[in-house]
Amino acid sequence: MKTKEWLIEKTLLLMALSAVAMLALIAIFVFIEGTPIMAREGLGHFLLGRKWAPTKGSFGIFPMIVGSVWVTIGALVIAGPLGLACAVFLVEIAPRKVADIVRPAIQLLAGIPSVVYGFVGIVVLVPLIREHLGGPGLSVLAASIILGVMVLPTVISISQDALEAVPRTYKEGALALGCTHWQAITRVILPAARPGITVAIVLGLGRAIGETMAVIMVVGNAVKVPAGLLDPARTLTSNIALEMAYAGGDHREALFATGVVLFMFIMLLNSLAALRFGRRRPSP
Amino acid sequence: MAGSTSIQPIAELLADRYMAQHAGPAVEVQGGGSSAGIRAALSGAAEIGMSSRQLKPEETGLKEYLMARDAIALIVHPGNPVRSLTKEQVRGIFSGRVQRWEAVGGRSGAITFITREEGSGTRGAFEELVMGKETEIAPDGIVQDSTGAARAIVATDPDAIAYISLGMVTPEVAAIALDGVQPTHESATDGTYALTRPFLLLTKGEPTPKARAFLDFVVTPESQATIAEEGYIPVKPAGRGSGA
Amino acid sequence: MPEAQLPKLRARNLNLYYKAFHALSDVTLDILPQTITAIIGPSGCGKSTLLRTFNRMNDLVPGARVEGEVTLDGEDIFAPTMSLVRLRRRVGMVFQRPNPFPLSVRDNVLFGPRAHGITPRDRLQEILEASLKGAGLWADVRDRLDEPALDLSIGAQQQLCIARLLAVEPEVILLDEPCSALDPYSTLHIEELMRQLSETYTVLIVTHNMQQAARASDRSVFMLLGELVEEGPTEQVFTMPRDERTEQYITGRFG
Ligand SMILES: Nc1ncnc2c1ncn2[C@@H]1O[C@H](COP(=O)(O)OP(=O)(O)OP(=O)(O)O)[C@@H](O)[C@H]1O
Ligand SMILES: [Mg+2]
Repeated sequence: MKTKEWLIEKTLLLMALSAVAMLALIAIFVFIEGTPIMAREGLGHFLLGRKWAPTKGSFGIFPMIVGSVWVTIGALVIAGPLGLACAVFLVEIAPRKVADIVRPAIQLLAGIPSVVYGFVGIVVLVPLIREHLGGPGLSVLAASIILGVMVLPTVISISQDALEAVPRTYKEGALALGCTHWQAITRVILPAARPGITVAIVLGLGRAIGETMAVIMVVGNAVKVPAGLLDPARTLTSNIALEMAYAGGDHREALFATGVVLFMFIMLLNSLAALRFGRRRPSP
Repeated sequence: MAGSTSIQPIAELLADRYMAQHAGPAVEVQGGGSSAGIRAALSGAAEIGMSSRQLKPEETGLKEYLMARDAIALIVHPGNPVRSLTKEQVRGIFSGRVQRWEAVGGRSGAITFITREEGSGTRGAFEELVMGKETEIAPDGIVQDSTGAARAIVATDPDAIAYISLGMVTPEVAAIALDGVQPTHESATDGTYALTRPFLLLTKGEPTPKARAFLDFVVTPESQATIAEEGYIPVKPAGRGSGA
Repeated sequence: MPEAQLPKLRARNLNLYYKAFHALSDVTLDILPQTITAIIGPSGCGKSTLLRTFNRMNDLVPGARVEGEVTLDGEDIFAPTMSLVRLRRRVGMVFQRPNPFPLSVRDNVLFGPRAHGITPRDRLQEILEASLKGAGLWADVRDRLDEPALDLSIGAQQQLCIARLLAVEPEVILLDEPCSALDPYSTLHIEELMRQLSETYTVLIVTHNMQQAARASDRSVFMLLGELVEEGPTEQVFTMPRDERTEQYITGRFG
C-alpha cells in the first residue's frame, strides 16, 4: 500500500518535472539561438530598428513589435466585450434550451483549424474591408477581427465558468433588495467574477499573441509600422513562420531572437496577470 | 547534391521519392545558391550541383541536365483592363516607385502588390529575373507565404498584382503579358517569355553510377508529373496531367 | 395584540407547485403589522417556500407556479401592475447563510440605496449610519467601513445583511433561518435585534429552533407537508395547541 502510493507520487512528480524541464529546454534553446545576434546588433538596434532585410544584413524588428501589439489589442477589443457579453447572456439571460445549443456551438468554433479562419478572412473579410473601408484589405483590422473571433471561445467559456462560480446567493441577495436583474449582473455578479474574467482575457491575449497561421493570411505581412487599422502589418509570430523555412545563418538567428522577444512579451503578460490576482482573493 | 535554393524543395521531394523506391546510399540535398552549387560540382564537394541559371561562359567542365523550367507569371484580377506590362513597369511597381494603375495604362486606383517571403524560391527567381541587382522589392509591400494565398487575394482584389509560378495560374486570375509576350507553356519552353529560368543539374564529367541513377529518375514520367504538380514546367512529356 | 389591526400580508387559498410537486396547499394566513411571526415545521414542509412567496423570490425558480391570492396592504402582489422592484423593496429578505457581497462594509450597506438611485453623499452617509445602528453593528464596524465585508465574523455578516436590508427601508422583513449558521451568542444578538425591529417593521421568521420561536415571536404558524396546520399567538400554540399534530411536533414526537 505504502510503496504503491510512494510510487504513484514519485511518478507524478517525475512527469510534472519532465514537463517543466521540456519547457525550460525549449526556452533555453530559443535563448541560446537568439541572443547572440541581439548582442552583435545591439539590443536597441534590434528592438527599435525599422529596417528588416535579413538577407542583406538589416535586422530591425520594431515594425513587428508594433504590429503584434496592435493586432493583439485589436483582437482583445473585439473578443473582450463580445465574449463577456456572450458569457453573461448564456449564463444569466438565455433560456436553458438556447444556452444548451449555443454552448457546444461555441466549443465547435474553437475546434476549427486556423487555416480555415485565415481562408474565410481572405475570401470574405478582406474584400469587405477593402470595399467598404478602403486600403488593401489585408490589414491590422482584418487580423484583429479574425483573431478576435478565434479567441472568442476561450474568452467565452472561461468567463462563463467564472460567472457560474459566483454564488447564487449574491444574485438572490441583490434581487431581494429590489435590484433589477440587470443591476444584479452589473453590480454584483460581474464584480464578483472579475478575477475569473481577467483570467479569460489573459488567456485570450496569450492565444492571440501566439496565433500565427490565420494572421499570416490576412495581416498583409508588410514590414512597416502600421499607421492605422487599415494598414497591413507584420506580427512577431508571422515574421518567424514566414521566413523560418529557408532561413540560415544570421537570418535564422534573427528569427530566433524574434522568438525571444515574443517569449518576453508573454512572460510579461503572465506576470502582470499574476500580480493582479495576488492583490485580493475572495474568501468563501 | 547542393546548390540553388529554388531547386532545393523540389529536389528534396524527388530525393525522398527516390529513396523510398531504391535501396542504397541516401541522397542528400543541400542549399547554398546556384553559384555555390556550380562550385560544389566543380570541386567534387557534391556529386550533383543544382543551378537555376544558365552557366556563364567561364564556367566550364560541367555536364548539364535540364530537369525542369521555372516560369513566373504576373497575375491580376480578371476584371483589371491591364493585360500587358513591360519589365520596367513591373520593376517600378514592385520597388514601390509606381503606385497607381493609371500610371501603367489602367483604371484609376492604388496598386496593391503582393510579394513572397524572404527565402522563397519564387521570390528569388522574381528578384533575379525582374528586379535585377540594383532594385529591391519594397519592404512595405504585402507579403504572403503561399501561392494559394497570393492567388486568392488577386482573385478578389481588382487592384492587386502578384507573381506566381506559371503552373499555378488558374482561371480565377489573369496572367498578363510581359513585354508583349503572353506566358504559356510554349513561350516559356522556347525562351521567348522572359521570366523563365532553367533548373539545371550539373555533374563534373560523366556522372557516378549513383548520380546517374538519380538523374534518370528525375526524367521519368512520374517525376516529371510531380514537377508539373509543383507548378514547374516539365521537360519531358509526363504521363498524366502533363499539360500544365 | 389588538384584534382590530389590519393584516399587513394576507394569503388566501395559496397553492404553489414546483412543476408537478405541490409544495403549498391552500394556505390561508394573515400576518399582522409590527409583529414577529414565526413559521415552524419539519424540514421540507414548505416554510421557505411560503416565505419566498411573499417577495416573489420563487419567480426565479423555473417551473414554479402559484395559484391563489397574496396581498400586501390590500394590494395583490401578483397583479400585473405590481412592480417586482417595488415589492422587494417593501418586503425584504435575510437568508439562511449570511450573503454579504464581496465588497466593503460600506458598499454592502449602500448597495440598495445606490441601486435605487440615491446619490447625495450626506444622504448616503446618513443611511449608512442609521442602518448599521439599526442592525446593532455600528459600534463594531464604524472604523472598518472600507474593509471587505467577508472579513467580518459570520454573526456580524448576518447583521450586515440586516443593515443592508434596513438601508432600503422595507416594511416587511423576511428571515429564513437567520441564525442557523451562527453561534448562540450571535443568535441572541439577532433575536434582540428582531424584537427592536418589530417596533417598526413586520417580521417573519422561519426557524427550526423551538426555543427561539417560543421566546422570540408573538405569533406562530405551524406547517406540515405544505399545509398550514395551526396559527395563533405563540403562547397558545406552544402551550395549548389546538391540533394534535402541532402538539406532537412541539413535544418532539416527530420532525
Ligand atoms: N426549486 C425547487 N424545485 C422543486 N422542488 C422544490 C424546490 N424548492 C423546494 N422544493 C421542495 O418543496 C418542498 C418545500 O421546500 P422548502 O424549502 O419550502 O421547505 P422548508 O420547510 O423550508 O424546509 P427546510 O426546513 O429544510 O428549509 C420540499 O419538499 C422541497 O423538496
Ligand atoms: Mg427552508
